[in-house]
Amino acid sequence: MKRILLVLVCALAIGAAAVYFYFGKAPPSAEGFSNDTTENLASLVKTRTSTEPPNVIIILADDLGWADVGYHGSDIQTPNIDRLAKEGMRLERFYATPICTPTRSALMTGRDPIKLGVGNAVLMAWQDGGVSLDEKFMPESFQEAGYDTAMVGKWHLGHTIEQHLPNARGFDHFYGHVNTQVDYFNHEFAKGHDFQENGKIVDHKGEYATDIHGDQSVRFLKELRNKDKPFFLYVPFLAPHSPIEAKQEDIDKYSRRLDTPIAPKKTYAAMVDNMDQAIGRILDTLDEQGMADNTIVLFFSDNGGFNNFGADNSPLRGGKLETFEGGIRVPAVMRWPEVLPPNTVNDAVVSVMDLFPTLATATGIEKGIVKEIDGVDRWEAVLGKGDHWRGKPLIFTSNIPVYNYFQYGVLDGKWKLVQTVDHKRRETKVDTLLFNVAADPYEQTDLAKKHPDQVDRLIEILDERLAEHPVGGSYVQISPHPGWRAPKDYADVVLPADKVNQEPHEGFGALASKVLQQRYGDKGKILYD
Amino acid sequence: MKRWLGITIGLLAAAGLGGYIWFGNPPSSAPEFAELKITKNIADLVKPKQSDDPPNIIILLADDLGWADVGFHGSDIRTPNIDRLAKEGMRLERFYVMPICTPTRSALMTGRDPIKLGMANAGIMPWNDGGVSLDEHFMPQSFKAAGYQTAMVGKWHLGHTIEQHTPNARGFDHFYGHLNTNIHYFDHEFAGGHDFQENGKPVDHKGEYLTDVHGDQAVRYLKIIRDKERPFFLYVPFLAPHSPMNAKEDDISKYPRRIDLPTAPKKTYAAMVDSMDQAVGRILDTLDEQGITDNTIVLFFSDNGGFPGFGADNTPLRGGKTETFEGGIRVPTVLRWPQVIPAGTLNDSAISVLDLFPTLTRAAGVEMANNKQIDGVSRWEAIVGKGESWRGQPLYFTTNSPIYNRFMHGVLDDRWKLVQTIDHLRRDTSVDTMLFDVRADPSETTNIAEKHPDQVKRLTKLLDARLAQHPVGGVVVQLMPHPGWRAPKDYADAVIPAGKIQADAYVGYGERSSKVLQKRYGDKGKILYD
Repeated sequence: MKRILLVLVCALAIGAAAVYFYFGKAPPSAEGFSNDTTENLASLVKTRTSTEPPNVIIILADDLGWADVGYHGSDIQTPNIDRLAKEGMRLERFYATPICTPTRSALMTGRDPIKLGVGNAVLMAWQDGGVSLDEKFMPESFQEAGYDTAMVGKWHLGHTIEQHLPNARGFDHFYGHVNTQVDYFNHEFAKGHDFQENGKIVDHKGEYATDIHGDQSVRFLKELRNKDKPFFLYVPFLAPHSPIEAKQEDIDKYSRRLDTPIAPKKTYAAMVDNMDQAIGRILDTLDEQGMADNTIVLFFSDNGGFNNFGADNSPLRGGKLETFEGGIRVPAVMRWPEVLPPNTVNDAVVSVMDLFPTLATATGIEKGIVKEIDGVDRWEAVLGKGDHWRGKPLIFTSNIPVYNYFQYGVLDGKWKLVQTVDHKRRETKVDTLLFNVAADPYEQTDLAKKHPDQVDRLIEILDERLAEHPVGGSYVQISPHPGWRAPKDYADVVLPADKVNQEPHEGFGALASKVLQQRYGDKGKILYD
Repeated sequence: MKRWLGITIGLLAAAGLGGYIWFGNPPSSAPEFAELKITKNIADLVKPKQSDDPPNIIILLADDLGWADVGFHGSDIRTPNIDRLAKEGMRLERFYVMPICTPTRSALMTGRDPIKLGMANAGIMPWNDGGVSLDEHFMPQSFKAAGYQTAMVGKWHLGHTIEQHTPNARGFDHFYGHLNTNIHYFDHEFAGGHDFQENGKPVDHKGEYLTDVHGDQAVRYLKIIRDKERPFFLYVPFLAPHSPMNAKEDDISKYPRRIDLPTAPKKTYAAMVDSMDQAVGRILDTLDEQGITDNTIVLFFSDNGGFPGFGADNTPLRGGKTETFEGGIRVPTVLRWPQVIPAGTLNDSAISVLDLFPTLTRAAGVEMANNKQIDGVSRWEAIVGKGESWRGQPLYFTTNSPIYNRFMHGVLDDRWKLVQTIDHLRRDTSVDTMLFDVRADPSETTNIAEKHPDQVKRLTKLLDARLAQHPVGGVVVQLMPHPGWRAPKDYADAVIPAGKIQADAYVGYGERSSKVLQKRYGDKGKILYD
């Protein structure tokens, strides 16, 4: 009986999907947008009229698909993101990492997340993790340069001790969540409430999280910020990450889309739509306050979209968690009316790691970083004057979703290695692909057999980087250990800074660590740098 | 210059070691115990119990004690009190534990295979948010339910992040000790965080030697704290002789013929064992003073084999701590209960730490209030000489310590023993398989895997069925913290109170999706926990 029911449900779903594809396919709405790279960018760049330091707003979508913005032809209504594209510059070869936490740590530090021990997976609520306190975060540099700094949204870079939280990492003001996957209406993960303002619990039960993110960003711009200082505002939306929840009025706009259990495309569209509305309110506020011209607004997604949540990365291959282009090449727009020419398309390669040095140059602040960073300053390339390629290879890693399964990517100019390593109980399965992403951006033709020299070269680059992963770095843990219990409120269980040692644990000491590190080889790196 | 200094030191050390081996090999202090003479007629010697009073129970647990590091196994380390237990009680000469701390302790407390608990691979480090599931029933809870008063003095190592994981929440009325492992013996700190508490409140013993405090507190419990009208269950897991290698000068000076090398601090190690034996002595003396020796079951064993790098000696067994050779899992064990157990006997029945919960409850006449299926079997009949020598079910051993993605497994099925090392490298996996007949070859010198491929196949199949039970969120080794970790100033102070925590476990994907995911991922892990 059960089986018959299941078959019936499947048949209905397939039928519905067929109907949807046949009749319901939404028309592309990319009118007025060209995908052609702007040829003469450098000559279009404007000379700045003011000497005041520009404000910076970084708007981060979570799991947004390549094809899910209006300017890439989506039927999802994103007039405000599209407005940024019309008034600014599309960065069409912008690379994030395939998952949340690595992208966020790369954004904040300009360093390769593998080195930080957060390259493999996302920090789950049951993991004691975070980015080393020895790392310098971008907002700290802006703070030191006299900026007012604020964050509204999802953190996902450490939640166990006060030192890992946004307020301790350069943000004067924080309104949001320390974890990922927070319910949009209840604001809970694993039944633990996760919504706070500067460490204090805030109660918005029943309100839609994306609305609040928009409201709180506007509140910062209108009320909280010190209007005598420039500001640095970071707005990492939860949207459109799962749980897939949207407001009915937004869902109703997408009658031609369909929610299936493996692709809730209707609800997903509503979540993106709602995020776009919040962005609209932020842009309108900039206009009202007369500061749109001298504010750099950067919009991008932390990784590609996840098909099972309804996202669409076509024509790119793959999606979130994967090192194919669909997982790492994301929609990105930068608007700065005083300098950047409107409605332009730039295909220079820029990585999320490059943003810290690039924004520092654009704004003229000192980075103040002591450690060597992996990001390169791409400001010249943004202005159409630099090299198209960023000069250094980009490395992508993902251990999600399952234990001992790794996906790697190495991008070096036109060459791209995509390798999967899957450790079974007593053997290891390795799958190696090579693409020429300049000629084949959709990664359809595997060239590994034709260019074994390139495969070897890129693997060597990959291994060198992987060997830098500190031995205590994180790995995937999709479920907690059976003894884990969520806190009632995440804000309430952060260990206060004064209860924690300032110094890191030395462990075996410098000498013994060197010996151990040598002995264990590429199993991990005990000394952290 | 530095190199010359290094070479000189190396030569001096080598010469010292040579001299030590040539001249200094200490004589055996307990020759009467040097050979295993298994008692044949135990059943005849067992005494009928004289009183109806339920017996008291004391479990004394050494930490990383080597097979050969007790007087009754021929050591020069002075362990007159452990030897006294052996003289007055029964040596369990085929007693098996797990190759590392946390797995043994969780097996002891629950009677369940630690692989099922997600606790088999590694010790919980202060930077791991881990602990035994709150759905598990702990042995002291059963004793408590039967009217016993329960207490623990020493090292826990079964969860330290939320109040629900700490000893007071898991069946111990009284707790005096440490949540973590590897505590400094004089500062009582790990990684700069203080870790010494009494029932959740930090206690300050700075400068006092830990093992002394453990002995004192166990005595204090027996003399002052406990209610003398009721039986008691006292668990004393010493830190000794686990690293850090710290001992008192007066104990160190007793071992002039031993030397401390960076790779084997044998002198300090001996002093640590010696000090532990003194603490055991004070506990035994207190039992005598209080006239409760006769009806108190005292069980002494080590949580795993000794670690040669810290000075321990497991000869004639092969290997040691973190290995699944016999030296890592077969440990010195003594059971004394004068009312019942014949003195000076040797029993070679195979008994596992998993078996203690059902065995001790059986001995004490206490009902096991556990409603999950346990993996331990009651071995009380075997102890009193009436049961089978083999426990009937295979025993499994696993360790992922010390390094990421390297596993050592063991399967023991009576005389057959599989020892398998699986090392996942960057792009391949190396597997090393050995088979031993541990009855004929207890020191595991002859690998007979090629001779008996059928046994290898059979035991590997058993192993795989067992490994597939590891919950996907279970602990794996993490030798060092992530670079952002900072120790709390006081571990007692960093435990999240029960009132701030959800009562229910996180269901994650829900029952149905979990089943689908579990099927898809196969032996990569088990999402549903049972």
